[in-house]
Amino acid sequence: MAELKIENISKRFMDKVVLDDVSLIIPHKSFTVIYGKAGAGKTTLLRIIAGVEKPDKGRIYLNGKDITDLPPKDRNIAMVYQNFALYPHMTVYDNIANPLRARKLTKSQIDEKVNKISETLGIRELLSRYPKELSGGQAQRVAIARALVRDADVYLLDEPLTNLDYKIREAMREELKNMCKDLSLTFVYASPDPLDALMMADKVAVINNGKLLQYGLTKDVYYSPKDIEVATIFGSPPINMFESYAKEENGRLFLETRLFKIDVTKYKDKLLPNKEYKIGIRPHHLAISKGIQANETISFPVELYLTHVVGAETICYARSNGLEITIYLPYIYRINYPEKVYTYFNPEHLLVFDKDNGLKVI
Amino acid sequence: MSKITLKNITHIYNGKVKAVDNLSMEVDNGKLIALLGPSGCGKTTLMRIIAGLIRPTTGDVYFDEDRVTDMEPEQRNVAMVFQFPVVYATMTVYDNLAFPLRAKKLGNEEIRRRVKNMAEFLEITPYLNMKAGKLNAALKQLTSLGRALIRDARCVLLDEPLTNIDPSSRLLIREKILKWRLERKQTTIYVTHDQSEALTLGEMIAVMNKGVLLQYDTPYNVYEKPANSFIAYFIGNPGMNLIECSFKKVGSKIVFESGCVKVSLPYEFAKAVEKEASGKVILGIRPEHIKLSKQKIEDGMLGTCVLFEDMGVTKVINLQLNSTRIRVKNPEFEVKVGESLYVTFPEEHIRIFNLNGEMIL
Repeated sequence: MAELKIENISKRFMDKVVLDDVSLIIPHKSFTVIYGKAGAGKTTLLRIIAGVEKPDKGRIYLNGKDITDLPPKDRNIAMVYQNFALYPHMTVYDNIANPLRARKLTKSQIDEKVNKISETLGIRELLSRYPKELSGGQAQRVAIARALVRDADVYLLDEPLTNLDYKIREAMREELKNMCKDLSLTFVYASPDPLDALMMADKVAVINNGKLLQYGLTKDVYYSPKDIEVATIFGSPPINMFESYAKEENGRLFLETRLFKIDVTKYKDKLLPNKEYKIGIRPHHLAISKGIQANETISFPVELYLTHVVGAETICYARSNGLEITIYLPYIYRINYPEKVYTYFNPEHLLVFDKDNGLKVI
Repeated sequence: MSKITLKNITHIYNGKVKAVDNLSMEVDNGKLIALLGPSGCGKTTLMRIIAGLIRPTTGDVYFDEDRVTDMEPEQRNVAMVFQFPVVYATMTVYDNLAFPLRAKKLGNEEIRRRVKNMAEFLEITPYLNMKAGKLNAALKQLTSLGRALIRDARCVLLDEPLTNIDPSSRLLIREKILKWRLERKQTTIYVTHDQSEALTLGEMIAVMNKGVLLQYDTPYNVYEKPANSFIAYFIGNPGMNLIECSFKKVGSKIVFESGCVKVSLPYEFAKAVEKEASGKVILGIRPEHIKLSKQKIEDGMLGTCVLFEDMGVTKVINLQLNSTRIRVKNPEFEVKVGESLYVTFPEEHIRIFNLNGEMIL
């Protein structure tokens, strides 16, 4: 089976280590997001895969063949940049057809391919226009079309949606995901936005300071982050973290924080008494109510001091006992002044990390 | 601080491109309003007209009772923050903040006090002695925001200040702007293409498209009662589902139908649609208002899941109902592609637009 294999890649610029021994295998016909903050090393990784940058160490294999020393043009890899450039003197049609002409396809072959990709990206009616007559969103579609019109083994996309309007970004995410699936393509997409990964990617590789922290199915990385660092950087809004202490009382084991106490006796084999742990709770696993919630949930009082309405949802910022808490509600909720409520969660959603080594234990 | 009044503003570039089309609106003293629209809708042109960087082709701008249309930007006392952070790179953050105050010839003690307060408000005190050019984009933008807010301008114009900031810092700056709005009450226009920024920050939202002001209302009304189908789709994530339907009266109901989409509303409530001679309207419903069920339910319409997006905080399900594609948002529901589901549209959440997109119900 064809695949892209990245093996022990390291790269430094001057004194700065940009990539530190990164290895991952990207399966054929899949959508992978390389997620990391600005400066994490994701663009450098893409450039090394494309061949425009040489790694200091490590190899790149495509379909089992070592391509590390091949020039970009011999790799059959297409790339879309964040700041794309179209040829201003050429029509949209010619811009898209250009990479095909370089490959010496016949006129009718070119015509067929350009029409097909323009159809998919909804830019057919723009084919006779010049770049200066396009909006930013239209121009980016043309740039994407120009990359996708080639039959490449791998398509690299470096934050192609970052500079676009919100609404176009929303539509493009859906289009890219559909296109990857419908046309059976291999996409490697770099992004600093967790939503790009969550909405499009089959797999996500989380990198920070040049190191690959975790690589796996997007769902697994999100719901089961390997350590505190991954849990903290991969999620929007960021996860709530609470300091806690494991305590034994009457034969039962509890995790105690400044805000709440949870019976964790059923995880006894994974936790040690008299030890510090960090508890992580995603903002959308917290809900609010006017009074204490009974049943199986854990509740504690908070003061809401800010709410952000995000479409049909609300991000609430709260304080309790000197701690900051973020709550994500799946409905619209507004406050004008600080408001006292209870927040609660189902202990099923609990993530517990070893405070010493950061690793997830539950 | 001033009330801003725009009267019949039209702006035409090069004698042919109409960027702003006969736009009138008022921003009350001390209010923060969001000016929302897609790129190219004319919102930046309008900003530049208020700032005095462009003179409108026709129409007038008033600050309180003063007609400022012919005034130069520096006479207007307007503070602006742009999409790309503008700082004096070789100056410290302190000097950047002090700059507009020194220009006003305030005393040193007064300047020190105000810079200190502003830096504390924005939580940039630790950076005061650093050169602004050395800061990351978010801190630069906070610095330029501070410079705009510190000077007691008649109004503050914020032109997409968060667009080029990474998502994690974006929330932080947004929070500062909201806090400013709640605590300081300064007339502010916040320009954005991002509906969530507009819904979060604006006390009122002005929605623009193609140079025209489409709706100027509270965030609640803009979201729940959009004046037309453009706003219905543009606001919301994803936007409102819009389905072209035919309608007919059946007993005490009006039945709306399109392929296997079939919804009925009480006649008394919905009879306004009968004015539509085409016999067709656009039915709108927001993705989060659609009810889902895996079991057959009364009046349920059968759809097939064609795309499932787990955004962590919520889930978006794309359903195909014959030729109609709808999006449903639900924080709990897990569905596989290819699986069939029943959906219903609760009556109270249905909106009806005519074929020109204007809201009827």
